[in-house]
Amino acid sequence: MRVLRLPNLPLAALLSVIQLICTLIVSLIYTRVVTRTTIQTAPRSAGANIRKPKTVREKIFITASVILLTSFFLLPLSALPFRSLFRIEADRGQRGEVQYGFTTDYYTELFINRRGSVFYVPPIQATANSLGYAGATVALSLLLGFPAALALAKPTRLEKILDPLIILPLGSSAVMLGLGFIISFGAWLTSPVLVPFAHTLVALPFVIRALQPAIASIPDRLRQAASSLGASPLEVWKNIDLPILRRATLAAATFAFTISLGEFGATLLISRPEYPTIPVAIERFLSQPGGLNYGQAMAMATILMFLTVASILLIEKFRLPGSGEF
Amino acid sequence: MLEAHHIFKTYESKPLLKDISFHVDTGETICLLGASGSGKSTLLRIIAGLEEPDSGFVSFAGQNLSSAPPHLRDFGLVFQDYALFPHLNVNENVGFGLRMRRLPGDEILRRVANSLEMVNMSGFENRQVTDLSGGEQQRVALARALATRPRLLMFDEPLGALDRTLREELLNELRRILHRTNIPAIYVTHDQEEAFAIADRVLILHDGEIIRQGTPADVWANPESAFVAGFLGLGNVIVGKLRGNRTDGKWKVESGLGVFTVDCAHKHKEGEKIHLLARPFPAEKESNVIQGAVEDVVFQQNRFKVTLDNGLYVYLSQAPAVGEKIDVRVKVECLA
Repeated sequence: MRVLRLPNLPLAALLSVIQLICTLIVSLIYTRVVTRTTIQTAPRSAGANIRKPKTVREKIFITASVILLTSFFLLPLSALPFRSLFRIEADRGQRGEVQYGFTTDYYTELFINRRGSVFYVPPIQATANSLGYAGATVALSLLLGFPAALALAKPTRLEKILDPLIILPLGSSAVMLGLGFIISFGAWLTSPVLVPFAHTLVALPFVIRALQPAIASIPDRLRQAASSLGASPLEVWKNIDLPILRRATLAAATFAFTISLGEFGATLLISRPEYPTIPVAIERFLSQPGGLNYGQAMAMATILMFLTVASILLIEKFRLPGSGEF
Repeated sequence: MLEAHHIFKTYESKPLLKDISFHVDTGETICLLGASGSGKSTLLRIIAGLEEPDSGFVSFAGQNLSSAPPHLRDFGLVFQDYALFPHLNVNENVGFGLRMRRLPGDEILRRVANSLEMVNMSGFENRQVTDLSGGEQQRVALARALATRPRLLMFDEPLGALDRTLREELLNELRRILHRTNIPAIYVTHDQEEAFAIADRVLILHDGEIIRQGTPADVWANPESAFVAGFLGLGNVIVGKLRGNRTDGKWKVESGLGVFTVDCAHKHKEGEKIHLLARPFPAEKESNVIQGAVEDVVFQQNRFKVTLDNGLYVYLSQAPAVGEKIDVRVKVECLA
């Protein structure tokens, strides 16, 4: 409920509106440009463009790419688990002397409520909250995303208006979305149901973008053939669209799930203090002084990281064998 | 059986189908023949219930189908691009319609095997449809349409994507199957050879209207219009002017390609512009002659197609030399 501490809600709203308009203009331009410059490309078989680098320039380019990728992607990610297990802090009262060494303290401390704080939430609880919100987000965003993607897959005039609107949440900051939720649904802030809705709003552009090309790629003739064979519209959907879209649906669900797990800006504003998610718990640790809190934040972040990786792997596992590439 | 009653349809405010009426009898195969854009595929989609006509209706066995959705019409459809379900194997594709009808499993298996046998695809049951060749895919699509024993079969350019020999082979099989099953069929194509080979009756669609219908032999003998003669490639269509009625009832026709004497069944006036059809086969007993210098000779199976410098062509058994002046007696008919 941090927004209550914001000194100037109208100013915040005004800034949000300005950002919103900028994003809308950019996404409108994007839609225009995309429709004008889309080039049909012939898909190449995997591996067709793979060969060993030959010239020195190619080798330099590849080495540089690898170094950049590792330093910007892998380093920050590996720094988290490292710092969650490695103590770099001064002991109490001995400010001069810094202690180094491996420790599991930060993880064990996560389970202890030292100050008897009402805001203390055990990590298992935060994890459960996060997973619950993520599950609800998957359900909600698929429920809303499928009809929207269906509508967008059929080229109509509606698309020109809807397309930029759907990208809009992508370009606007999550804090702004949270602010919007507070202003619109302030009366419901006491209930935790707002969080999955906010997460859905953030995830929806990805969900729709994952589903739409897959839906558009199903030739209408398949549906017509199915209906001529006696399948009702619902049976066509169940027997043709859904199985062919399984893969895209899985991708969409993964997006929704992981986005919900990691969402911070909007969650911070609208989540109930007694139901914090992992990112909110991390922020609580970070906002308190001391090496112990810092280490606990790292530990929590590491848990989040592994949870995300685990859920992606798990969802990937659900991909049924033999369903092939569609 | 199937009847189309005064069907009108506009597409993007242009009339696509204008007052189309026809019928298909039990066991009959009719062929809708027309160039692309003639509205023939739209007509098929209207019959299938995939599109609605602006006015007019389709009925089957006297029952108006206007309010029947496609899945309750029980009409089989075979497309040019096969439209097999990529996520199902051959067995599941062919059995799809039977599963939709909630038939028991062993009955489905029996009928799938039966249908696959009919199209010579036994043994392919467990293959992925994406692994099959074009011809094999079309056989599976045909088996899929046959398995439900529909009361009408519709084909939308079914052989358009296949090469010539395969096309002929499949066409023969298709004719045999249609005769054996006695299912009425509508076959849409732009290929007149295909149409003449499979149809009991041909309907020629042009500019949204049926301009000629009849048995293939009848249409071939009497195209009745310059368009049909030209579209079917029956011979040289010549524009001429009527010049004088002869005592034996024949007309003299003057054209840029010579003067011809023809029989005309219709009433005509002196000076009227008419179309003639000069068949491209030499006929010794005919009085009309086409002549010109040989410009091009193309070998075709057992004959040579000889094109003259004035654009006329004839089929000859002996190849003349290019540049040689020839005159050939041919049959010239009067088109309405």
